[in-house]
Amino acid sequence: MTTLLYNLRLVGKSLRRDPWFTVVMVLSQALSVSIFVTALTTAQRYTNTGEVPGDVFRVEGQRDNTLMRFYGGSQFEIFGEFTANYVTVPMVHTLAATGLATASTVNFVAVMVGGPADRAPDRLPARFCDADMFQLLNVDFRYGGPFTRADERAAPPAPVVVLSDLLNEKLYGGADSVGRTLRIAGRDFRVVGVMRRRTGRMSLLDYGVPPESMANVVIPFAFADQLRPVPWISWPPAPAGAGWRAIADSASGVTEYWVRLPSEEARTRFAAALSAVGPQWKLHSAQEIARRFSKPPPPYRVFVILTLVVMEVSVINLMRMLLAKATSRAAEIGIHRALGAGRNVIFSRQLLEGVLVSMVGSGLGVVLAVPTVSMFDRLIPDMPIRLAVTPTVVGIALLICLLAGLVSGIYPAWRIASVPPTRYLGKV
Amino acid sequence: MNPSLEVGPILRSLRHHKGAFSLLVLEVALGFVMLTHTMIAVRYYFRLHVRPTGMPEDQLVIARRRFLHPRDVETARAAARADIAALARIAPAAATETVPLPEAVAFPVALTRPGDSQPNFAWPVRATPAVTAALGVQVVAGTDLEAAIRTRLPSGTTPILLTWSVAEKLFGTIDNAVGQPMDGSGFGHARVAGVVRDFAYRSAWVPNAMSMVIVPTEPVTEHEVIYVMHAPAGGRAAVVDGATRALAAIADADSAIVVKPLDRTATRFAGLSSGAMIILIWTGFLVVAVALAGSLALASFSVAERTRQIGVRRALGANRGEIVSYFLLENFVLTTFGLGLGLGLAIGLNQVLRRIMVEMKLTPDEALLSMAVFLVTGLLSALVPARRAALIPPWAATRTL
Repeated sequence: MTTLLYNLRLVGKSLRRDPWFTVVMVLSQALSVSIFVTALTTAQRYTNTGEVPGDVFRVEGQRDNTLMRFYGGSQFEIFGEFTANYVTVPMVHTLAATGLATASTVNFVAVMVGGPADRAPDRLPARFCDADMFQLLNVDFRYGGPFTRADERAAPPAPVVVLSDLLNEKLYGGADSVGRTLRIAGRDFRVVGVMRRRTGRMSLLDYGVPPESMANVVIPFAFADQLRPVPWISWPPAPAGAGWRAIADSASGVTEYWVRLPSEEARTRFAAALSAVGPQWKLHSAQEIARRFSKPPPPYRVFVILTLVVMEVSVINLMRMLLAKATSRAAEIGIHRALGAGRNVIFSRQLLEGVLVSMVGSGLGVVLAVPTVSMFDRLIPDMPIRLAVTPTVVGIALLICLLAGLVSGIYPAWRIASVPPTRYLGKV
Repeated sequence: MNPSLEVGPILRSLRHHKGAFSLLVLEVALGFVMLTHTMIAVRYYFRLHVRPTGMPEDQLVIARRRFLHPRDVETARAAARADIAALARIAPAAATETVPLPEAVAFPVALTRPGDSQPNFAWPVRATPAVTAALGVQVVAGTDLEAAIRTRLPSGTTPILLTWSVAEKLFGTIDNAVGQPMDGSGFGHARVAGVVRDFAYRSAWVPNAMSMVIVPTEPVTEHEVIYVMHAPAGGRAAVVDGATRALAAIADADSAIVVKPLDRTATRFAGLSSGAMIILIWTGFLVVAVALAGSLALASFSVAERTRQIGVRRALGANRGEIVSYFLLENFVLTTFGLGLGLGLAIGLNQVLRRIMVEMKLTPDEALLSMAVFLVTGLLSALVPARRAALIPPWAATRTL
């Protein structure tokens, strides 16, 4: 400990001796880290593994490979995936009738006309699902709670809805809106809950929802026949210009279908029921789906790779500067060596200087990342889920920066420590 | 100075400072890789941002009638017919399934020729027949949909219009395309009534953006009807005003009317491309700035370390200009090595990135521009130590000998 403090004092003196040089080293590192952290936050938005219980599954069909190729390599590559995600309404009824799932829900988004009852009606995205969705997808609540099976099964169903936090922010400025009234397609609904989103991350609910519809109201599926939604996506495409009843009765897949199957036996029997509908239908665990969708879209992947190159440039730049600095202090190092400092002492002191500069730069970079991320969010309105510099991102970034600092420091330290003291002393 | 005479000292110097110089070469190489790909990405987004859609966007008006209570499809269609009749008195108007340049992507339709199972994807515009006039797109072969509907087609056959790109791809020439039978997912048997100039209804961002097929229908939902209108040049405000009044004049209390000019710059994709360009330019600037700042900061050390070497050269008769030239030449050699290595790395990385995004294609333009940037910044960063080195007097060589 004493040695470390002594070395730190020497490193501090060394850094203070050339303050501008130190500032340039730290700032270069900080700017590179800030853009790297920004890229990490964009990638983080798509990480959602482990969000859902292990016994939750979704029914999926076969992907259309021709369409997968059509969208492949473009910004919309995920669209090819959607050809497998939707089942027909009659199929939902068939599967529900088996009674094998302890919980199940449809899940689709449609654009309705509506809004707060005291304002003019506007475009209002709506998610139709069953009450089980909230427990199946581990939905957390900021205010109030979910609507329940009892609400759905009442005769007539209770007119209650839940708001996504994005819609609550948009309509009520984020205030507690439980008890307020929304008028949707001419019918009044009472808000019973506002969902909470994990900071800076999409949830499984958001996949398959266009960004402009992520701020949505969650409506019990029991109201579908009254409200007549037009699902925003269907595969095979629903007949153009058809109404809800025609779409619901058609062979077009319009909704995701999630189920909870806790026992192995229930899974086997449910899989058999699926096979009876068609050989292409399979159960896919929610965790597998979460992993599949954890891949950011191509532009973000490219951005992360490019910022990694920026980090490499920064590492080499730091290495060059540390090497030059150490070389210029040859005489001082020679005296240390001549007074008995071993190679390992010189090496560790130099390494400490590299790591210290790198970590100070990285810390400043993380601080600078906050406005950079905010600027990124404002400039690139890709989706309403705001990017966030979370502790996870900071942890990953600092770990990578520590490695970068070690890499930056090792070569200069090794170079300086490996030269014999007589050579240094010649420069005195 | 004779550059060939400097090669020997430079090579010896490179050997002597191989560690530091290797790092410089590597930094230039990686910086070049980064800058090149930043430029590729900026070019990609810039092209998306400015690419014409083939529609006179600044003359288009979007109107919506939103139903406050859901209406069955037939009632909605009746409302749409009345609206179109009123709107058509102001400017060409058509009801469409989605607005032009929609925020969300959708599925294309698969077009196939009889006897050919190979699907060709095209983006559908489902609209009432006057849509070509309403969008301001020009029919270049055959007829428009209004004329085609007046002709007698076999029962169950839909007249369709193709854009030039699709027609040429499927039939070789646009004239060959007219009258040809086709099948399309979602609308079944069809016959090509005409070919229109290329346009990108769903924006330039989607794959095969100019591959469009126009399908006549009455596209309503139980919640709203969307109309597109084509205003004369400079007359869009009047059309917005006229359309608002015309729709409001139709007695339909259970609906709300929204009429707006189409604004490409307000779309999500326009925001994405402009924002991406700014972020990428900032990232590219960071790399060059980091490299340049590092080099400039190194200047004093670089000169201090080589005081003896420079002093000896001055003592042997080199003048200040020759010392400056020597440093610049040395930097040029190192930067060139770096750019050579960087080119190899850039080609490798480009292969990887193109598997992620096919549009990230490396072209000589970006490579040459990046090389020029690094050569100029390299020389600039060498100029500072070079000028400082030139001030070293010949007797400096004797100080430490």
